[in-house]
Amino acid sequence: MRDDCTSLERLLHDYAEGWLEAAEQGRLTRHLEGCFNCQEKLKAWSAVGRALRELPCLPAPAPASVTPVNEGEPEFALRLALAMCLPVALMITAYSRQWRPPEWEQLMPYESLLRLTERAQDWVITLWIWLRGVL
Amino acid sequence: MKLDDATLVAQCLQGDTRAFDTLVERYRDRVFSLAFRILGEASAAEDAMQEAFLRAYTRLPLYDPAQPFSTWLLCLTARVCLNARRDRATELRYLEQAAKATPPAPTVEERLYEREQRRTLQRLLMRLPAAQRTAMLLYYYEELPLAQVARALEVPEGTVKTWLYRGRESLRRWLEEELG
Ligand SMILES: [Zn+2]
Repeated sequence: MRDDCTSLERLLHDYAEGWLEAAEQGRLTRHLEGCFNCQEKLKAWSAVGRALRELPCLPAPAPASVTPVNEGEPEFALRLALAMCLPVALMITAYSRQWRPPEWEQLMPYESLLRLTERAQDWVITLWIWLRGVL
Repeated sequence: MKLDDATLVAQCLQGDTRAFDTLVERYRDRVFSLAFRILGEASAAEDAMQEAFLRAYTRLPLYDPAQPFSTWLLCLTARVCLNARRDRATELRYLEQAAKATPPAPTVEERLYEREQRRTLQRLLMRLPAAQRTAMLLYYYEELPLAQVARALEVPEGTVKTWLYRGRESLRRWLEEELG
């Protein structure tokens, strides 16, 4: 790097942002025309700026409070109640018949089930990121 | 029909709290993202987001409609984050929380943030001094004008320029070191 490049660095940054007076702007343009180092530095800076601009927006965690049932939509409460009926009915049936789940351990060993769930979580995350990118 | 921010703010000032809920819904991801990028931690960012919206609600009468609501809200968020960092008590609380044995299994969201944190740029951003990082994020990531950034951080524009220069040069150097 040439000697004056180091002393020009701060000016070069302001030049890149368009903060300089016309006279200084001209001086930097002339320097840049003959200086490969400063050209490279400008490119690297603009890459950093671009990377910052392109940082993805992250989804905020869902509010801790349960979403209140909207008073304006009685349908929602009805749908919720109906949706709750099915698992409750299943639970009552299962309890009354002393029903037990089939032998999961034999069908699928615990280890492979764990691995499968972990992979499923990764899919969900990937799908999530993709969906947020699309929407 | 989608109401614009100005209308929602006006409705809110007339006492319609639902209008504010709509604004929260509209900006929560952006506020959270900025907070996460300044603080580098999901739970601290969540607290900062709550605080920012609470402050926005109570200070809404002071909001100047000449500037966009988003600018005002994001600047307010940046200040909340910087204050949270200065607040040693809060910091100690997070350290205590972190030290607690057997943390619960991470949720999908937490895994997302962990993954994000592992990404080089966010990690390198955390190496910058907090004020410098915040200036970088407001200027480049949120693309706010220089004057707004200076006002949000309560420093002269010249200081912001210096921070932006130093921050960008540090990131360039570290990225080159990391990526070879
Ligand atoms: Zn040069």
